[in-house]
Amino acid sequence: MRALIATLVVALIGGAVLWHATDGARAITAEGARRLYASEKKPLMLAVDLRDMSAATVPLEAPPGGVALVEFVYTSCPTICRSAGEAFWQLKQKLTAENLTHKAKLFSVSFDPEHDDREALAEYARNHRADGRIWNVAAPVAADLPRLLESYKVTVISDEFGGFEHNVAIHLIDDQGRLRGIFDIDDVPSVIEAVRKWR
Amino acid sequence: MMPGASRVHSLGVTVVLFAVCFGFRTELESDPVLHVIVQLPMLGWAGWLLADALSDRWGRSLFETYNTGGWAGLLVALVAIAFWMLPRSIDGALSSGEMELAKFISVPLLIGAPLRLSWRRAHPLLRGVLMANALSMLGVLAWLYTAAPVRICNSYLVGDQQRLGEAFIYVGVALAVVWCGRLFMGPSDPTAARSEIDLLGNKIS
Repeated sequence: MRALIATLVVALIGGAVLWHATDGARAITAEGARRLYASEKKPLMLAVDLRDMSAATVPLEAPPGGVALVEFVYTSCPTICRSAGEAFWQLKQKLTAENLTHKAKLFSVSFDPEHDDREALAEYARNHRADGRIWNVAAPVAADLPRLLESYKVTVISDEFGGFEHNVAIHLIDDQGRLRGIFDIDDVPSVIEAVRKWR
Repeated sequence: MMPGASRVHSLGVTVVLFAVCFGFRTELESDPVLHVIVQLPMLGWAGWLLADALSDRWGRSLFETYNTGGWAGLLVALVAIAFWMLPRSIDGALSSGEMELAKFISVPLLIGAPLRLSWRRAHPLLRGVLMANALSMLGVLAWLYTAAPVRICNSYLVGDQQRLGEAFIYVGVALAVVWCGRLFMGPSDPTAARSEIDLLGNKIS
């Protein structure tokens, strides 16, 4: 009898621990947890100034009443950042076509400021047809980078080819600087939908 | 009761295992295969040996009362195993000091030790179910980690994740061979050999 009670107590506590550890059976990966955290806690992101491809200083912020769509890249990336760039190009086209450009600004933010100087950023912008008005390609100063990545909970690790792997996603920031949603880069329709409904 | 010498031996090996896991944590945790297939089982083993050395001091009668059939202890271990099977727990152990500390404490004390204190109390049928489950779970993990189109751990490269999936296959096959091999060797318990046992563990003759 006492053994049965002990087992039931363990089952209850264990169930509660696992429920808590997975945010109610909703996130088993760190990336899943990050997305829940964004949509539920609306955390304030670090406000930083970036230096863009024309060497201008631009704040990483949304237009009033609109949103900033932020992705993290490094310009020498051979693979996934290219699809990230492609996704942003599609976003830009759709936003323009739907007359939503006043409600959104796009930022491709480099986490490799050491390598990504103005020329590298400009070349990435040229390759992906980023215009610099709706869509800016920019990098923080190196000193801001660790706090910026920490704030977005983006983990960057070096790969064996001198590049990086990182969590690739589109981050939606409101005009108060709060992270409101995280989308897959191939989920452009959901991003457009979110911008369309934004008020 | 364990003889004193082998108790000291168990304690010694526990300390060595734990020291290696802790002292070489940077190296072991730099690679997911070493982290999951080497460091975590070593920590569990350390806990098993610790319980081995201390078990009768921890109160045999207490376990007789509360851990009859090993159910409570096995459930503690299963919950802790499930927790450390979550990719976000592994990521957490790499990015947060508290989670890293929790790993070094909970894997020995909540997986290794309760397994030692419960496994031999458990009904052979329950043990068989758990072993079969471990094999199928390794198969599922192998499939997940080799086939996942996305990164499961933010702290490890996709290529490393696939190597981990392959390592799960090897571990699963090795365990299957060892465990099935023991079935062919016949019962190691001489008293069991004298009587046939049915599926529920009842003696037939």
